[in-house]
Amino acid sequence: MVRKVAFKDFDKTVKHGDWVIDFYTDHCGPCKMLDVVIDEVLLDNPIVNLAKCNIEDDPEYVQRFEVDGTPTVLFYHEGIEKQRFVGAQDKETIVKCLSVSMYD
Amino acid sequence: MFDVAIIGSGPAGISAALTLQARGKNFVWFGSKQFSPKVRAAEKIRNYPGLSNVSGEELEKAFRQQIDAMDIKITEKTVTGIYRVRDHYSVLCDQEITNAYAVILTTGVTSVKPIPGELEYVGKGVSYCATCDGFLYKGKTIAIVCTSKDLEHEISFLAELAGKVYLIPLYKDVTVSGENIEIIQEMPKEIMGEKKAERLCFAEHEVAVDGIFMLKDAVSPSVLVKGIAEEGGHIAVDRRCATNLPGCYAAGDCTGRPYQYAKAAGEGNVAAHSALDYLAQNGYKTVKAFGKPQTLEELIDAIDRSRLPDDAHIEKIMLRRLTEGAFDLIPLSEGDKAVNGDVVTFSVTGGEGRYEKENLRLTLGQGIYDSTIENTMVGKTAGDVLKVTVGKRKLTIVIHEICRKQIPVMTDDMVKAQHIENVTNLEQFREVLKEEMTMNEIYTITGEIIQELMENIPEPEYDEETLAILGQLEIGFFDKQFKENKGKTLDEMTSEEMKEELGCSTKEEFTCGRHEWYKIKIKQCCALSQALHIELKDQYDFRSNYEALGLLQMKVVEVIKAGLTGGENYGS
Ligand SMILES: Cc1cc2nc3c(=O)[nH]c(=O)nc-3n(C[C@H](O)[C@H](O)[C@H](O)COP(=O)(O)OP(=O)(O)OC[C@H]3O[C@@H](n4cnc5c(N)ncnc54)[C@H](O)[C@@H]3O)c2cc1C
Repeated sequence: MVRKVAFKDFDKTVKHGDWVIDFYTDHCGPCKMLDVVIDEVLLDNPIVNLAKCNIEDDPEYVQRFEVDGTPTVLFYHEGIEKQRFVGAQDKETIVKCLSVSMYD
Repeated sequence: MFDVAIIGSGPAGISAALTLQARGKNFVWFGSKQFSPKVRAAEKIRNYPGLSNVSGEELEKAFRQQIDAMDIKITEKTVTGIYRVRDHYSVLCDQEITNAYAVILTTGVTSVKPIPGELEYVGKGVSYCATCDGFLYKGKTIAIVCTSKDLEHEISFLAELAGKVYLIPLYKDVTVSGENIEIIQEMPKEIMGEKKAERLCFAEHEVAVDGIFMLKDAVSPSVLVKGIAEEGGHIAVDRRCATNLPGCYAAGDCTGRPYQYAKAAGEGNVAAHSALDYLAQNGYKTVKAFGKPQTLEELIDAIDRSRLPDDAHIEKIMLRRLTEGAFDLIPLSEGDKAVNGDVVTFSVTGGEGRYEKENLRLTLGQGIYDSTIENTMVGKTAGDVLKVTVGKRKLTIVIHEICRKQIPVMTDDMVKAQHIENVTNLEQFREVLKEEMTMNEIYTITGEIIQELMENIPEPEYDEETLAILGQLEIGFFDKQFKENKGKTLDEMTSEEMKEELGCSTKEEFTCGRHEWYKIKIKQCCALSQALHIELKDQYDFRSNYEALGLLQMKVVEVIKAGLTGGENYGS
């Protein structure tokens, strides 16, 4: 599932299951690039969800998750942060983070 | 999509470009029209075959003649990231993405090595991208390390956002200034901090900061290309100039010593040939326009039609918008075998951690859990018990359930839930989406074509009088806007209010600062007038109508849309 998530809905949205959380802005080139790579991993994977969080629409995200650069990506398993990276990454990195977050 | 993208315009890039052009490939070449500062800088060159005892400037001239004679175009952009996506590479220039099947890196070596701490703190207070991360530092204290005068506009952008800026310019003739900018003329030694970058240290002192921006005209290969292997600070390549990534080649100084023109040119040639082999082996081929297109019609003809969204893609996006990309999971009937993409629920024993768990779920064939186990599961059925060896572990796996994803059926109700005016059924939604996606691409294409048209005409005359008239027109336009929205004209505003609205305290200061834009505007009007065969008079006279350029742009969009979509009433 791919869902744009507002700050007020964040906790209840990502409470269960596996979520990739993408903190982005609309004018960030690496964010657009990462979208393409994340799609490659997630678009056909029915058991991992993607939460898109626009940190300009909801600046509260920046404080709470200590976002120091865009894109910042968190991996949540059953409501708990397991992994995190900053900046566009390749497919292998995303698969590796997911693997740790979901199964370790 | 291009066959190849070449990054860098020194001798290695030039050599690669010449080779690809001679072979009629459809490539894009990122770099600078000045080629390379390292070519121009050389006083005397004695070891380049064919040219004895030339200066760098003479070598540059020879390169230029050859590039012009072969009709090769350089795209003047700095590449900020390269990512492998499925079967190709996406090359990122600030916010623009260009795709190519193969890439050749010829970026040279930068004298500005990363400073200690820089790479560790990327994303933790260190940023390479002003437009991406600037707003995170609104009102805060930042340091900017900048290697090139060309990046000064980014310094100004950051200085407007930040509270205080320490500027460390690593170039000459600094022209930015501001009340909140403090210049430090010293090489930084290290970035330090607890969990994130907090201090920029110099030999004798340090400054406390909330963030550090590294604005560089060239970044190190590992920052540029995710996942590329390096060796001693250079890109690791074999004799074919192949890197560890498929379809990615490197040539010149960036692959290591000796740093020499002839070596760079030689490797550029090898890399180009390796890229050609790679394209042929994989059957990759894009279409190239013949000759150098000049007229609007020729330029439209040269556009790759596959850039417009096709029905399959529109359907995919539609599904995603309406269902948020959710799938229905349907258990397989008894005896049906698992295939890649299926979701398997299973238990595993005989190992530790992830290899000793009940009721795990995985999607087959993605390698997220364990490739060996996933491969073994393909072709099996629910209830099967598998014995799998992973490393030293002898595991027992019981498959409980296998589910296949089902694409949900789209309904008119899903469309209604989107609350789009006058769109209540699937057919209308599809049309609206098609129009939106097509127009997005057509606007991008129009931008490219206008650039091209402007390059094809001689520089028009920009006399002071015309520039002054354009200034008056623009002020007139703002006056009308402010009158409507704020109830005052510019003349009625205080200089503080004016500064707030226009960024300048007087009208004169504002229009003077806009001269460069007025020149572009004039040139665009001339180029569009020629291309569209429209005379610059009446409503199209940019000296009397502020909206003239806008009208011309609308016209050209219409013509391009008709040309690309077959002239039929596409979409709506
Ligand atoms: C003063 C001087 C004298 C020299 N004299 C000699 C000599 O006599 N004989 C000799 O053989 N060699 C000489 N050299 C060495 C020679 O200049 C280099 O070996 C040669 O230029 C390397 O070519 P290159 O194509 O690998 O890289 P470069 O010439 O460094 O070109 C790289 C180009 O790529 C561009 N680039 C980098 N990153 C990006 C990006 N991300 N996006 C877009 N563009 C990018 C750069 O702006 C640059 O234009 C001399 C060098 C210097 C500095």
